[in-house]
Amino acid sequence: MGIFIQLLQETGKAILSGNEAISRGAIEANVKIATSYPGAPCTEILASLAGTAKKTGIYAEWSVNEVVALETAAGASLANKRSLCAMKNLGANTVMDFLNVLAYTGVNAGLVLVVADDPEPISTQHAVDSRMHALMAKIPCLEPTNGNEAREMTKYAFELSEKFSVPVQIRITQKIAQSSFVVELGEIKKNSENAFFKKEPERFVCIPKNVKVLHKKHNEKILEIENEFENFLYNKIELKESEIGIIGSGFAFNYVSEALERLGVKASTLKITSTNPIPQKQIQEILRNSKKVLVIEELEPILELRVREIASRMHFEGEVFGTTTKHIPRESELSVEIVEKAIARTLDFNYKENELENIPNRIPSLCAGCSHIGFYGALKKSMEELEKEFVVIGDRGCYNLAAHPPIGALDTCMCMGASIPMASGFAKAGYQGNIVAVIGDSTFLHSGIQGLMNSVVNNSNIIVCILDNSVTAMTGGQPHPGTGKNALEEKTHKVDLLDLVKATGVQFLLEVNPYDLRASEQALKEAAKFSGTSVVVFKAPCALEAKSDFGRRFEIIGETGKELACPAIKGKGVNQHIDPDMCIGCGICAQIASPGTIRERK
Amino acid sequence: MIPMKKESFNIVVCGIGGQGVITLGKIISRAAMKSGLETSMSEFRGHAKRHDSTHCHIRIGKAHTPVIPNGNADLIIAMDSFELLRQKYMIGMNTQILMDGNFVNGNEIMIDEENLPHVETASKNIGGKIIGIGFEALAKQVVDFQDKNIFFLGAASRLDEFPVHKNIVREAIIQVIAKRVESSLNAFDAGFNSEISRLNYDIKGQF
Repeated sequence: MGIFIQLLQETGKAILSGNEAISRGAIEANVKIATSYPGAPCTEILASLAGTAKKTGIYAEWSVNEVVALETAAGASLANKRSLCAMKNLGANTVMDFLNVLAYTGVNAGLVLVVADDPEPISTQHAVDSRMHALMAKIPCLEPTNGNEAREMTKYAFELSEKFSVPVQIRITQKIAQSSFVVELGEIKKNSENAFFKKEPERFVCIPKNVKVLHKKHNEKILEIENEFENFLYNKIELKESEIGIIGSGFAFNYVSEALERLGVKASTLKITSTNPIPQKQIQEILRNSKKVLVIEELEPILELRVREIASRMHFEGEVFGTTTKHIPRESELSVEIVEKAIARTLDFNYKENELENIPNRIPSLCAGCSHIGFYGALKKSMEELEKEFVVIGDRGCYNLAAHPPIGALDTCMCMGASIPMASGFAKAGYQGNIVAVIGDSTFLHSGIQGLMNSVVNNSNIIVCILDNSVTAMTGGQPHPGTGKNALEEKTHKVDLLDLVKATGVQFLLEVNPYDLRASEQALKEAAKFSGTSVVVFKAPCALEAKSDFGRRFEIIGETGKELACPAIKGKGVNQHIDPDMCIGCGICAQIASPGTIRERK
Repeated sequence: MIPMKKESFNIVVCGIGGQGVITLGKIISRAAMKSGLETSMSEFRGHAKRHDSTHCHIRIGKAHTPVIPNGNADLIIAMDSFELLRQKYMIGMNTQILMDGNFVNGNEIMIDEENLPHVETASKNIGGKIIGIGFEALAKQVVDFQDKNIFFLGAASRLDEFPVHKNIVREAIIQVIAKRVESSLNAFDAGFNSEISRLNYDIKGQF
């Protein structure tokens, strides 16, 4: 439990991150089932619920992927247990098929879906605005602006979900998920009802004849929910004698308060924490009170377009500003400065902006002694020795850090599970070089296996490299079905990756140790010779998670002639040396460097 | 409730993944809460464990967002001098800066050392009041390298403007750091007792 101890404090105040505040809200709301697939910035939600599960009795699981996570949570809700499902925006894209139909059927016990966006983005391949997911599924969407609201609105979301029998989405962004706040704690409810399910096939069997009825009912439900939000406790309107009115959505509203104070500008404001449905009457009030209305939101102009629609219906004679007028950018996070500038532009006064100097970015590296360094060493060498063009189709995980120098090995890196099918597409297009797909074990189990089946059945001539470190390493070492333990740290059955791969009918399968570069190179060369889909599993534990130490140390005794990817190796050229505090003695560098230039220390 | 000298006090802690930047933020915000003060903290983690830039903002007292506006840092604790350059825009007229003279050149591939400015030139450009702490020279002998962050916290607690009392910071350390409590407290005391005013320019190495 350790680091999450504050989460279970009975009452009083605690410092919680936005993620933890949501977990606390769920605990106070007597949630029984929590599911998730790890991904920054909201990994901490399930991690904290799992970390405290022994005390709370909550069932928490790292599901194999986000779709499975939401479907599991939905099953629990239908069986009358409150459930929470958390994922980053990428996951939300993948669950839309299920979420759309769940919105039609509705839920039994409360179901809350937390989706975390990464507007910057800091650790995500795109900056999709998940408020659009809520609009697409036509479900309520709440956007807390601080830790207290995150806790309280999570509790409220469960009640709302039950009141209207609808899944409720909470949208957070990196800035609230990973910021900490002083949170006032509420009472933890502890009652336990038995699971039960009343058969209602006309509601839960979504065949066309039922869906036609459900669709109409769902649309009617949304209108009812609109009323609920007209006087929503967490939307806040303040009317001032001023020509400017500012409407802000979610966390971005915080910048408005700070900016107004710093600029000394008086403005009517409306803080909106219910993005869907929006409080139409309050928006009308702001419009009636102002000549200029500025809409502040991160990413897409979702709120702004709704404000424009309301303005046009009420024949608003003033002007509306926001993302579409380029007063605020449509990409990256906002800041106090950006909002100040937008207010200044709206009110036509000068705003002096500080020029920011461009400081070179650090390049994140693989860890010292990471087995992936060995894999890429072997991959580059074997492919070069085959003297044929080659392409490396990457996937999502630590191994995409090899995109950076000095490895620089990746040609593509798209989304979870894309590597094998894209490689297959290269093959079917007739690409003449060696086609290598690189995917980790967690990603393979998440959504890679389907691509492999497809590739094997259609006989695509590709080399699939599965880097198996038996853990979801990139997000902090969460277990997956191949790990042998679950989120609650209990020992479980372990999905055998080799058996799973064999079951696809693949005709070439080898397992090698990536710390043995010669064996790895040999395996890759043989795989390249094989005509059809070949799979090489590179198996070694995550050095960071396993705290690997090979019990020896290496030193550089001559010019290695190489830029070595291990962060334990410092300096360039003649200054190159190995930091003995960081070295774990794996010996990969000695196998990559020119012979005789790196040796084991006596 | 301990009265603060100012309405708000903004702290930036910067460094790279693995240096305990976020941990330091957690300790400071916990200590502020224990003192009955309003506080919030925002984290900028990136690929933190993998030697990427990391920093956090801690706001104590009145604030609308956990993110400190540019030029509004009261104190910057730079665990890595190069990362301080990245935080240059946070520095205002009255910013005090505690910094380590060293920087980590991860992989030696991301920064071309020859083009780096020297500390003295950089500090002239940067503004603010730099109070350098050469951790290597000062504390390496008595403080474990892993506790370098706590050493800096000790030094920060010594500053007149620091809004939380030393003893409360020590309590917060015990709560946040489950393991290594003894060596952490040792590092804190070493930092607190390091006479930083006399060390103004005892900065080792390049900026």
